Amino acid sequence: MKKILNIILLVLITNLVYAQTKVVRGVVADDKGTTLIATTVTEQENLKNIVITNTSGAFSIKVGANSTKLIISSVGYITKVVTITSQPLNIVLKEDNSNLNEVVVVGFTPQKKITNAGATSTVSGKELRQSPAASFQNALAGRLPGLFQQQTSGQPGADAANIYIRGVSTYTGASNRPLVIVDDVEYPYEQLSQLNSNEIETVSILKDASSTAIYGIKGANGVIAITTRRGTISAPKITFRSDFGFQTPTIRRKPLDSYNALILLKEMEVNEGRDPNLTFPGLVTEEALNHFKLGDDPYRYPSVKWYDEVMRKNALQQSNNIDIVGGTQNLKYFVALGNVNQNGILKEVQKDENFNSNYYLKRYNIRSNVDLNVTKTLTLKLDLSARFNEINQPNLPDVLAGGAVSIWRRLSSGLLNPWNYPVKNEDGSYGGRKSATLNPVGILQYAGYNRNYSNNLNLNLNANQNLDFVTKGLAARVILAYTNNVEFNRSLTRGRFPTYAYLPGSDVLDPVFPELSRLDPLTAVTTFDANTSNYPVRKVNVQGILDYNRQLGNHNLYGLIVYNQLTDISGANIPANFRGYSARVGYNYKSKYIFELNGAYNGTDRFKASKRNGLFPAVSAGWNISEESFFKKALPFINYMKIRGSLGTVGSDDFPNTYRYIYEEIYNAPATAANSYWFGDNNSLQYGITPGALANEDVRWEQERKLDIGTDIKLLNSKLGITFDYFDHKRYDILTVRETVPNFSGITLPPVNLGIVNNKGFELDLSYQNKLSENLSYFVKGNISIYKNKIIYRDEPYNQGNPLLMRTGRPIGQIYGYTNIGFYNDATDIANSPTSVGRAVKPGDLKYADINNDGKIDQGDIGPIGNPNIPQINYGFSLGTSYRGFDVSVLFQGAAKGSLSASTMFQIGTTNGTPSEIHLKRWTPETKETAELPRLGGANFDQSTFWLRPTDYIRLKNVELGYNFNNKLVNKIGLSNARIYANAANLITWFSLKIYDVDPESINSTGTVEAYSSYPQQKIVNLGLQVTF
Amino acid sequence: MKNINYIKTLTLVGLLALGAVACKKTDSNSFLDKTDVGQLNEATVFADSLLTFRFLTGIYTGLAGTYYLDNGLTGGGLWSYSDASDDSDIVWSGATAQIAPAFNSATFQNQADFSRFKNHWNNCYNNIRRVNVFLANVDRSPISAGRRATLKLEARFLRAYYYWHLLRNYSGVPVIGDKVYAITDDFGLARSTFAETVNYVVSELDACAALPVTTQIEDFGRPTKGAALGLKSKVLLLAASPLFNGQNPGTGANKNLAGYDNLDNNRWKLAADAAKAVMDMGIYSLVKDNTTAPGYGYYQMMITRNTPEHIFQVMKSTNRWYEGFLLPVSRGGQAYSYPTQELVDTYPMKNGKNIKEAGSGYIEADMYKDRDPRFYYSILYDGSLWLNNTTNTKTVVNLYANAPGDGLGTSGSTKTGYLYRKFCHEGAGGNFGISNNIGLVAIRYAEILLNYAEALNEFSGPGTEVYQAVEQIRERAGLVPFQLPLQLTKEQMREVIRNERRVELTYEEATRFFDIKRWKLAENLINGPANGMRWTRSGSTVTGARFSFETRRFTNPQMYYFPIPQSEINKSAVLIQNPGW
Repeated sequence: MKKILNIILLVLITNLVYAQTKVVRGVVADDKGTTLIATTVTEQENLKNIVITNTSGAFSIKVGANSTKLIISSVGYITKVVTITSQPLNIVLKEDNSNLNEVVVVGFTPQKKITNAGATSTVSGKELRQSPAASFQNALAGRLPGLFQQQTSGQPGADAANIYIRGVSTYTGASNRPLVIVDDVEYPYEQLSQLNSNEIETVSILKDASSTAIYGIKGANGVIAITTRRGTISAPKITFRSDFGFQTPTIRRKPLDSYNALILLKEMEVNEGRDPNLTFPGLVTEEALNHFKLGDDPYRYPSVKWYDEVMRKNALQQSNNIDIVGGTQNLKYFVALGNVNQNGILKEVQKDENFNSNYYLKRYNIRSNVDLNVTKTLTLKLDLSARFNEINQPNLPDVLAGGAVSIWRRLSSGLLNPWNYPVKNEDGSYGGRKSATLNPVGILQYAGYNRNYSNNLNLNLNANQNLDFVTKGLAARVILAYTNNVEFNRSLTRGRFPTYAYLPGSDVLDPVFPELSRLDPLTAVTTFDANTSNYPVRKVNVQGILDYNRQLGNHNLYGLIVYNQLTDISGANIPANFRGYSARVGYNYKSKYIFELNGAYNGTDRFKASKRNGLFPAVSAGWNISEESFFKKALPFINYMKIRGSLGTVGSDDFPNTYRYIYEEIYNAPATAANSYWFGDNNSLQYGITPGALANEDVRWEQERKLDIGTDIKLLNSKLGITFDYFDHKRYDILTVRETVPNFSGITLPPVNLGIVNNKGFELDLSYQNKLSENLSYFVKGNISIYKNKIIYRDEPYNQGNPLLMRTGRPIGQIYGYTNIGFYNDATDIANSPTSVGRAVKPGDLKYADINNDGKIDQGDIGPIGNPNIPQINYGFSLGTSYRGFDVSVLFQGAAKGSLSASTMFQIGTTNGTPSEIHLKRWTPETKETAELPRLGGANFDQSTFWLRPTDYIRLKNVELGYNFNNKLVNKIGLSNARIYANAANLITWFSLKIYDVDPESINSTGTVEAYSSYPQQKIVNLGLQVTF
Repeated sequence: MKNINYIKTLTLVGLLALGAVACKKTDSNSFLDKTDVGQLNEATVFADSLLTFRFLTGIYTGLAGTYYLDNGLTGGGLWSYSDASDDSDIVWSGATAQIAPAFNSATFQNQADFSRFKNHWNNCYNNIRRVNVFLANVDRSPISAGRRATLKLEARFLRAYYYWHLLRNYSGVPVIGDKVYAITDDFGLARSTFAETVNYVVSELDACAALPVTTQIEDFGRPTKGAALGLKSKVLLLAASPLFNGQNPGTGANKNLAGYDNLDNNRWKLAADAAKAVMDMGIYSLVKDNTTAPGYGYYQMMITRNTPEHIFQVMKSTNRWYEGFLLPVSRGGQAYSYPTQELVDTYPMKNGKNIKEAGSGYIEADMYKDRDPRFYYSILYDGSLWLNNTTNTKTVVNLYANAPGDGLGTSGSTKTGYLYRKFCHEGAGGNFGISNNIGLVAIRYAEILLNYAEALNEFSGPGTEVYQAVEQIRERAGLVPFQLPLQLTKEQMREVIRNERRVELTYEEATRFFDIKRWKLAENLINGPANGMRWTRSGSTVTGARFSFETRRFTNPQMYYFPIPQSEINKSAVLIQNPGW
């Protein structure tokens, strides 16, 4: 039949060749038979000749007599070239699944990207699976415009990056954490990191008002909406994937050896006008230094590289995933089982006792997603997922000086200098010293571990009843979700063990713990989580949804009403209750003009009844301008263009107050020593009662007005895609403690809704993909996000002492300090410079600018410096190519405009650092021309621009190299698919903090917590194999 | 097909029902209403007599914060005021974030907004408000009228005590009376003058003189009449002292805030009378026992919770606070505080003579021989004895240079060659032995005697009563002879009293710290090197040398007063800063 038709067509064409012009008619429809309006029809021989299909999908075009081909293109469909015939053409376009027909999850119903006017970004689970990172967040970095992250630790099980959508908008108390939604159900942010990316279909971030308003009081910080993988109609497909990788610290600190370090310390003591022999008795004499230099008496004059004694070069990590996908018309399933085994970087020490004190994470993820068509109109989704975690960390006793300091800081601090003591003394006993911290190698052998087990169970039942029999396009849905999370701890610990110190200049080994003559037995403790009352966590979420979507000719009308109720009971605490209604009404005409109204009316129990419920509306509009015929004619090279905008208000009630009903004044009566008094001869204890913060019955949620204007563009045959968003967010009613009420009132002030922060920025996302031949394709993608916030109001009084210290008008997290203008060169320089108040300066000290020009350097010269710690620019770009079975992709990710104060890293002293290589570049009279750092000693560690270093970095965040075996080949051995690959995370980092041996994402210093306090960030090199049966 | 319809209908009905239930609940909002978990609030506390008592107890708990320069006993270490005076130094080196090093180097982080200063301001005013809340509500509480009247006076005493603390730190401060501020009030209250503040505190204390003379044994520790009169004596002595009595360094607006703007010698009379009022009560006396050992009564007083010498104290449970903080590492302590050689030199010989005096018998090379018995009960020096947990006997404490464990120069031990042992129980170490049942002495009879002697000497010269008061102290101390030379001049007697005060009251509350300020001597005494004693052992030869462990700075007049926190100044246009800040 087909052959006959072809022959007829051929004859017809040859007959028509002689005509000068001809008219071609036809109808365009999709593969489901729906006619396609506004499809572009172009004469291939004359690209300027364009017509558009009408409302019934029909077109007629005059073409040159010799023309043979028409190009039929429509957004969301694969462009087709058809041969002209004299008969009317019936053209069928296939949906382009990779492109704009992509659906985005925008709260309770999926929407086509083309008819969505909100600002959202999506990444597929497939892309996330290219990252070997064990924590979910760490795989997201660089892939989603608008997402900012900061990974401050590399500890297995606790290495998840903090993530922020469009930066931060609130400065006190309230959290900046986005709301996490997994399959329409709220998911705890804390557990996000433990999701297994093998179970993920897509991750979307919802950034503007139109996409977040439906979450009302919880949406202000943006939303991360995750969908999990589901079954498909196919024969069962079993996929097994196994990964095996090495983790290596991104940086390794390099303290100097004893000899070089002591030389520097000696210099410091001399600079300080102290006698080094008193500060370091017996350590800095000619004789001692000579021993240190020669290393001829490693027991009395040790030089220990504590980092190397405690840390191994790399640690293994391993993961295995198996999943089964398949289904029939009526039953579809996705079942997955995965496990991760991430080991820690500490060395294995020979132990008599059988315990593992290293850091590690062991995780098992299980998921079963089942779709069941009960009747033709009723579908059920039965989703069950569970996670079992085991996170281990060594017990790090703090019996000696500085023990409370993090082990990572101890290792390179003055509490554990290379000369303090040998790992083991001559007689095999552990070295130690009262003034130094406990021997870390001994800790690994004797001190035991703290282990946390957590079990997480999620049940998600979803029934969808099609109500077409009531009215066409109507459906009702009920979701019942239950979460149970239990955590418990087990510890096997020992607080101390015998260590011995060589007394200076003698051969006597002195016990550090004179009373400790034996090894104490290990103490086993099993508890629920530290805050025992917080577990188990039970969450019950009930949702009722009415969903309407109907196409009437050119008009598409849809709507949604959601009833949502959530109860969160943590242990025996006060239950946290949430209830609300959300609604959406949308309309679009020919998918061209898009209008949508979103809103929520909801509240939580945190506020007084009369102040409890709020309305959070948002309006959005979009215009697919490329569907207009004038546009198609004028700018035919633009395949698609949408202009969109949204405006609305969303809220946030995520305040950290421990007492739930923050509108009440409560009196406190804690059973603590600080709240105790002992009357009477026999000291009978009585706990006091003290008033708390005054009541503020008007307290409410924080609000954010979000404005977003954006555009989506496709160019060059839709190969190049551009998305641009500009946003202007105003967070107001920020819960702030008034700063203008004097403390002599004695009032403990309640927070009041008064602060205002403005947050503006933009996001740009570019992608280009091309197929050069059947076997060779490539893509390039890039995105950049920039935000800048400013505190507009926070009830801050004018600072008479120093107006520069005002926080109003500055970004959240502004750092304040002196402005450094070099070093003092010599005495003349000091004499000619403004006087330093309260600081005796000497040549080689940091010189600060006299900002207020009062002729002296004092607190009045401290002003805002640098950038906030969280970078304000985040970007990523990736490229990849595939040729035959091979594919390779790389992802670079970077950040800029963030600052980190490094001053504590240069300080040498008990709780501060031990000398390392950077200290060799200090100022001395001889090296004054080339010195990079001030002289040793001296008071140079005030926050200043000198120590403030940019955290700018670019990481080779992800690399994957893979090979898919020829299907024919693997079929022979019973497989349908096989792939081997190697990938890596954080492989190379370019950054300016390198001299400090600190990762650029490290946390900024606050008190005893600084960049060195965290488990080092890791790079991972991984090998994997995936087979499908 | 029928089945399907059935399911459809059922589902729909189910959905509607759920909606209806939900709507009904929403109307009453019960789902989002408060779950009552018995949280206390103003109404519940003052409706119950025991809870009302506990509210008052809450005001007592802030007292520890007035006793120490920093932290109190509630967190961290024991940062004594002594460590910021010429008496001693502190374990911390360098970090001016700690308050004693900040004083010793005259470097205050954020200057007037130094957080450690703010703690003093906030602690006092928070508790003053609590007193006002208590006074405004206590009448509702089901407590007998008589008891309620006493409780009110107790509360007023505590308020006066917090004002006293503010007074000596900041001089004149905003006096808020009985006002319970609400958040909507006008906060434009200015500082009261020094005179007004003193008058307010004194008038409150006069009212508190109606407190019972003694308490029931189970109420020991609550203020009595003696406490009110004793505190009045402290306030008036401060008010009569040079810094405040017409010689304050304030100029212009802060002149009458920083002290009286005129000099009036009669203020010494008022101070002397106030001390005399306590003495005249006749119920207080010094704990004396020179038979067990010379000065043993002094030690007994220190380690006993309740003696006739105690007038008011910050109450504590049985504890090893002092032992844990002060004793050397070898005795399980943390060796926090290091007496200076200057303090050691202040102790007379056991014959009552000053070490520089002719015939004192003082030998520099053997300087710990034959000293005032109080020296041995207050200071640990190289070679002194303390209980050793291992042997359960008293063994030598080695503080000589680089001695293993505790020696001068070893990390975590003394910087001066000395440690304190005052208030430590001889049967205890930092983490072993007796857990002693003592409080923190805030007012004791010896101080009243010294207040009296000082005020009267200044007012009318060294008369018999002055001699008697000082000699009582010296007698109890175990000095032989305890009598002072006759015909001392007023100036000589002043020196004697000042030395006696330093020795007798060393390490107690904030005595020395504020004494050298109110005498306007801090600029002379603090500025310059502070000294310790280094004993060096080489075989059996022992050599000693005084050495300067640090050079101290005192900025005048800045450091005579705490600054009003800058943040407070910022909030109010009428708050005026202290001189020098």
